[in-house]
Amino acid sequence: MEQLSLMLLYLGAICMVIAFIALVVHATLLATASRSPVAVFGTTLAAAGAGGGSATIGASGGPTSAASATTAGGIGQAMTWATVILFGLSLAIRGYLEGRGPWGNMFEFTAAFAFGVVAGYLYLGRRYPIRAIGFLPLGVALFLTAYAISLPTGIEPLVPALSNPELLTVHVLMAIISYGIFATSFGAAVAYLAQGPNDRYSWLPSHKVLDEVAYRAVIVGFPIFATLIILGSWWASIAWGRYWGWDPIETSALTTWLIYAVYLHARNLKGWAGRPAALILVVGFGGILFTYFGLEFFNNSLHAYSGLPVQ
Amino acid sequence: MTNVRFAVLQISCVVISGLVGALVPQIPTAALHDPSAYASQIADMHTRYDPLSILGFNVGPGMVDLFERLGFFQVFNTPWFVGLLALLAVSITVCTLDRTPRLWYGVRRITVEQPPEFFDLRLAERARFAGASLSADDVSQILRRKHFKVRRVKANDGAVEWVYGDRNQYFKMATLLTHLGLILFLAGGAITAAFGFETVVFVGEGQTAPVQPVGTPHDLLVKNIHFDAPQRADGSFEDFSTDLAVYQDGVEIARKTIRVNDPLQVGGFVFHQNTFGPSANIDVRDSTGQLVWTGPVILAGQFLGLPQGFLTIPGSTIGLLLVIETDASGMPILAVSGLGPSAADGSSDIVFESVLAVGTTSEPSQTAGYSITWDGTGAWTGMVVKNDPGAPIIWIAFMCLIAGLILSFYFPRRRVWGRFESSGLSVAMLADRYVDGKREFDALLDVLAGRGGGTPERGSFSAPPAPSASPSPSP
Repeated sequence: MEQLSLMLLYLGAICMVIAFIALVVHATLLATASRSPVAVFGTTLAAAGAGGGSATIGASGGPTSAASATTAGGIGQAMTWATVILFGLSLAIRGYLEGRGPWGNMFEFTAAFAFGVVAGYLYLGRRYPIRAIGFLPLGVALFLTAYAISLPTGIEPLVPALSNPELLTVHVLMAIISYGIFATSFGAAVAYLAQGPNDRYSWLPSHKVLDEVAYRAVIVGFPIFATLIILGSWWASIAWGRYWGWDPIETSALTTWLIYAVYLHARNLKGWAGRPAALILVVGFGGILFTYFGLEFFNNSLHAYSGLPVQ
Repeated sequence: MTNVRFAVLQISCVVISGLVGALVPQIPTAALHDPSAYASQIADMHTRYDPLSILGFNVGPGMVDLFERLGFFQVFNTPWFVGLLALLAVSITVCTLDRTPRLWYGVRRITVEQPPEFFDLRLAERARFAGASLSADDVSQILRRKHFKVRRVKANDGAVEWVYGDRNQYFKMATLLTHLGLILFLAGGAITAAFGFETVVFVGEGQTAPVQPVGTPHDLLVKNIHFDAPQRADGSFEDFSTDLAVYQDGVEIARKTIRVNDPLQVGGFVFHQNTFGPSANIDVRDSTGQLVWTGPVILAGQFLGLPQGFLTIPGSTIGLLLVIETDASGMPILAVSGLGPSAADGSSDIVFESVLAVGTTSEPSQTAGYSITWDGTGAWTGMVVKNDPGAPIIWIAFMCLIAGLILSFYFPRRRVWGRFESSGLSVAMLADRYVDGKREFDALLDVLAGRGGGTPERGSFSAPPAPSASPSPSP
């Protein structure tokens, strides 16, 4: 069963690579097509549904709200779904074997984080035409998966400090969901910074769509992130005798949450909406990665549980 | 204080401070109250960072001094950080008090009868069903199915009828709950810091130790009946547990095997399994053969990476410094150094030095007349014992925070107006910014169209009318 779980994960990783390449090709084809009215080799530009793609060129040359799709985009989307299903199955089997959420060490948490990123992208992709920027969250997920595969993959019993299966499951699940969905807000923010308020690139979703996607992602993720911190605090009070101890990881998580709080306040301020708000989201996701990598690098943190020997 | 920009500035300052605190190694709180431990920590920082050079300039020593002066090695205990949190709490309080009347007025004030201009198709989320067969009852029913609270008003002449639906009317107030949660969290933290009691108790197996300072009325005593740390085949620890008894006024009031994730709560205190380490079980007899000490000596310190502990021989001025190490053959040995009384500068003379194997006894002539026997090793348990009057406030704060965020973000307010005239039905929707208004309005129009509304007429609502444009009357 453990081998099956690993095989499904590896299969999912292969699908993720294909999805990433296909979405890069998709974005490239859209970018190329936006410069030329002639059909691009191997590309079918057609109007698509809400989940279909990005802005197309209107009669005046400016972006419209219509969406575009390419064969590569379709393949990318299908492979993204395959990835999330295979990762989901892999994690489910591992969770069944372990009798808890399968995120008790750095390998498991990283794989679940990658799953969360892809799932978050698909969730938002169902509501918004963001396929043209799909390669950004997929790129993040791919990087995480590559890192996960480089870690020890065996199923290990929990260290005594983590031996609270219920809280471990829910606390880290909150991290996976919020981190995952914030990855798409990061992708949308990066695209917004490239796009600018004048919709510089017609192949990208309009700046309004990107802003909306980023905002929606934060709306969903922010309370979940708060729950993550609060559950962590509750757990800390049980395991370590204090609900807050300024441990590097909890400080980093709180700081990241506050960055998103700044975003929520600043986005509605004149002079902060648009580029500055997008920049805050990029910094916020930097905070997420900092918190995540801190799990390994802050060896003095009570959260350190990479499974790697301490340097 | 009520300015959002100021709030953003304050939060940004906390964020930057937090980053400094997460990136720069922090001196443990216990060392902040012990000058020698503090000096040792700073010396450690110098050892670590003094070699740092940038572009050939050795900046390490200056950087450590500067960081120490700025409080970067103890960010979360510095007056400026505490002041920042206090300012944030005051700011949130003022902001909350300032917003409350406006929020209350906003959720209570309902205008059902909206003029035609309100339904201007150039505005966002506006539509018109010309000649629709929809009735006010139909619209009311549809809105109720979508969990709207519906109100209806008919003009005196009967020419116009308004239907108004309001969903999650009062949930806008939930933002106050969120801010209250933040205030309570900071208040709970302040109460914990001011009135809470926390100590770390190290107890060897079979030993007892007081929780509060000796002499405290009705003080609790804890007894480590047995400590267990079973290991797996790979050498990792499977569990840490202490069979713990708690006594008050000589009577056992609780007994429980505590684990890292399973503390004992009794007498207003919580006992958390926190750490453990080795102990050396020794017997000490004086020159008359009388037993003056038997039991474990906690080896909680370190000497060159080896476990080290200290025992003052009862009734004597001699102290024993014990270090467990291994001999050339890999067998454990106990190095015993006898220390004389401390001099004014804190130093002590070494009176004797001896090395013992398990089960052996020292020669009294070589150990100041005492017979010291090493019976073997054991383990001590370390517990965090805490009485935290701020904790209930913290949990209330957390509940407020989560409830406020969930209600605000996941259950935002939506309002829908329908205006019936002989020429048709005009529909408008307003929603909090957390709502995907366009999507929900489209879904509502689909339902209305399906119930006989026909195809709705929509305006170019992606761009609001220019401020100079006068609203066009409804047809």
